[in-house]
Amino acid sequence: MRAHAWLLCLPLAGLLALFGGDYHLRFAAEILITGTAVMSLDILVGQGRLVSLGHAALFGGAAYVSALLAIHAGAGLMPVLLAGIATGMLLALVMGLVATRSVDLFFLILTLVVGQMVYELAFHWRTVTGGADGLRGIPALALHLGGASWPMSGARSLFLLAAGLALLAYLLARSFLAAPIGRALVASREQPVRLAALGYEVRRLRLLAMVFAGGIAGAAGALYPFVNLYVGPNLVHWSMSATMIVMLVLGGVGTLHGAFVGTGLYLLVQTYLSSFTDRWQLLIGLLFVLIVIFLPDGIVRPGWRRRQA
Amino acid sequence: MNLLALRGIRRSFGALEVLRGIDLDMAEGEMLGLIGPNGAGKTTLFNLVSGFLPADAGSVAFAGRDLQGLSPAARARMGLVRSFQKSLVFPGLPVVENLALAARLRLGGGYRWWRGRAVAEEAAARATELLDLAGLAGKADTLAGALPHGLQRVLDVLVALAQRPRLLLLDEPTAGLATDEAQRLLGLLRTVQPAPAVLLVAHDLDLVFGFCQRLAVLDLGRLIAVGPPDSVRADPEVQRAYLGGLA
Amino acid sequence: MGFYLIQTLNAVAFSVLLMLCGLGLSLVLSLMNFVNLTHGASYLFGSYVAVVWLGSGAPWWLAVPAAFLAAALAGLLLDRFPFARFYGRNHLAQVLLTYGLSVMFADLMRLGFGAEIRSPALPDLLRGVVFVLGMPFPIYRLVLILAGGVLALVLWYLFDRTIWGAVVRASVADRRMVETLGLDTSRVFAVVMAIAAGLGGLSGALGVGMLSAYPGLDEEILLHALFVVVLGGLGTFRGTVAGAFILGFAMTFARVWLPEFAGFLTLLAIALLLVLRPDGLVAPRLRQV
Repeated sequence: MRAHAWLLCLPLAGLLALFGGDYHLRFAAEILITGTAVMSLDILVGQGRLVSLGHAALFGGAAYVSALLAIHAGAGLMPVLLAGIATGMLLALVMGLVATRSVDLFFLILTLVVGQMVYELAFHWRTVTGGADGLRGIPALALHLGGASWPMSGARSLFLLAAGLALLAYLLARSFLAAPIGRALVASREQPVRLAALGYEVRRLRLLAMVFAGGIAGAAGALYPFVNLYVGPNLVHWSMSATMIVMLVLGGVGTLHGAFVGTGLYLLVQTYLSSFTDRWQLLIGLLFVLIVIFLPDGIVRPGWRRRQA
Repeated sequence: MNLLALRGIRRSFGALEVLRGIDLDMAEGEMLGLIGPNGAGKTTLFNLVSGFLPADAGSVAFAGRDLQGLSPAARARMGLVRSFQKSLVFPGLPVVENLALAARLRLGGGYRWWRGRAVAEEAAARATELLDLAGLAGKADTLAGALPHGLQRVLDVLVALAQRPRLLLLDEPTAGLATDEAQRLLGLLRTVQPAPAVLLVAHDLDLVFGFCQRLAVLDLGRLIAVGPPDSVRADPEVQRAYLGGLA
Repeated sequence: MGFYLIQTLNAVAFSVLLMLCGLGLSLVLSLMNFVNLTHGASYLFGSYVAVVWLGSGAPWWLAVPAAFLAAALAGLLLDRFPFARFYGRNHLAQVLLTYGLSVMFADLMRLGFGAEIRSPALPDLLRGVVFVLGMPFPIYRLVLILAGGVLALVLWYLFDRTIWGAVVRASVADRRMVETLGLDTSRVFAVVMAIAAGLGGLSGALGVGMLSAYPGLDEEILLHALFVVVLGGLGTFRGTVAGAFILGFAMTFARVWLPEFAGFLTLLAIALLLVLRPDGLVAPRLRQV
């Protein structure tokens, strides 16, 4: 992102944090958290051309684990975050081990299969996950440091937390892509055969990228229950994965920050539509179709990629 | 000990026998030209040696080690490096990054997240050195895809060299190049240090004969002659099967 | 003993249904390299057409052809716009487009046919049961097995043994070449798309007597059909048949033994099979670079 865009973002976030109402702060936090997960998907789709239809399972799976941990063992920020990251990485590892032997269509289907396995567990393992009802009654988040503890359940602190997470994840992702492994991932997208001839194990590379993306999605998922106050099976369903891809495409594939723009726009439109019509699914579907027909490159052009690549 | 030792290599596609028992040895640092008419099995042999295709029978040993079951990537890491008939540079990456990608893996930093300064510097130095050698220093930041065809072929070979190969399999590296460009490209292979052994496939026979110390002639899946250029040129079977066809 | 025989027959009936539906999806996927996520909608549309047709008092035996034609027509329209301009695009764009359309169609069908479960008014002839080793088995499912088997044979003959099939396969292998021969490949693709969508509708009409019709079924069927095609391997008729039977049996018996986690176990089986055979069970052997 260009410098002036950053300069615009920061005061905007500051203003929102100072003057925003609870509703808007929570909504902004949801955008930032979901956007972080969508951005992690961009690492796979945009840089590695690994179109995953199971990414929501990493995000949502972490949200389930985080919510369960909070309900049964208390909602400390650090344990919850660590559990979410670990869940995201572990699920991504399993998904990657199954799917990275394949590319393209088979990769798509295999990530879908693994993602749906998470959904089946969330939906049918009622004693733990609450089944179709999902999990409610998420306790308030708190940060424990030493003996002291600060509550983090207010809309303002959740927003700041989400903003911090989004910023940190964005910087991590950028450093990942600029590092040797990220360059190799781009190369694997362009010429996987040649990359293997250079001595790279393309499968290992893809697996590492998936686990990294899974970790970020997991961190985002860990915070999600405290903002949304509800975790249900739809969060891990493949249609959520497809929606994440739509958000990504809407913002612009391969730009990282486009993920936040796309997520924000999508959630705004969805919230607006569902408030005034029952047929909002029809309109959302129409929106997907219009995006892919008229905005296949997204709203944000991948400017930095061209300069930096 | 031979650097490369092929014994009884066989490979068929369906009913078509492409390679029918190949025995070949190469010494360290040697330049060996592999020639033969189209469809003789040269590319298939490359694919077998570099591990992109399994052999039906026979063994490939590299530096005394049997390569059975090793992936192409594993072979490349041992120093057995190949190029492809079609240029396969990474078009979306700058020229220098193409080279650094190869060099970093060789230095053990290919999968790093944090850039590991020593590796990054050494890889960059290696890249610069090769670019200077090829007279491409001015193109370091150009996207590889934006290079003209001739320079892409040069970059292709440079990327292979950046891996510090012990054996380089070059499949038609000079295809589509003018004679002087081709001469310069092959000249590179002699000046680079440490000098790898090269197994070279090229259609331009003058080039191959002038450049290689030894030649192997592949025809219909068999090696019909192996030896110094003069004796190969004089071999009646070679003349009949291959050179005769050109005359 | 009788119980397992009945379950086996159930599995066969379900497999036949999956096979017909999977064949339609496989057709566009392997011949045109087009990921069509509206296939589940075609199925459900066919189911609703059959329900309405059977409720209207029109001759019952025409319900299946009617569903085929209705869905095929819809497929033809979709081919003209917007599918045709996406045949050459990457899978990401195709997934987005067809997923969006499937969401729209799902909502439109909910609007048109209601949100409740709809079952067809079957003719008396198809309503009864036969007794197999003393256990009752619906006649309808026997008819489904027979009709599906015959249809599969017809399709196999059409695409594997006729000049039409050859033209389609050639259009995929080398579009330019076929056009040089004076054949309009876009018309060939339109026909394939229509037949594929028609097959979806047809399987929906046949399946509605077994699964009924309700919102959300489109998506279930879509996933099953995708799994069938991928399990079997692209571009092979035998593969899709094998994939359908594996999935049909796995799902039926997983439901018998572990109803709660049947879905999970089936997916696990699919994942394991695909890890062992990454290109599907019957993969055409690919030539190397």
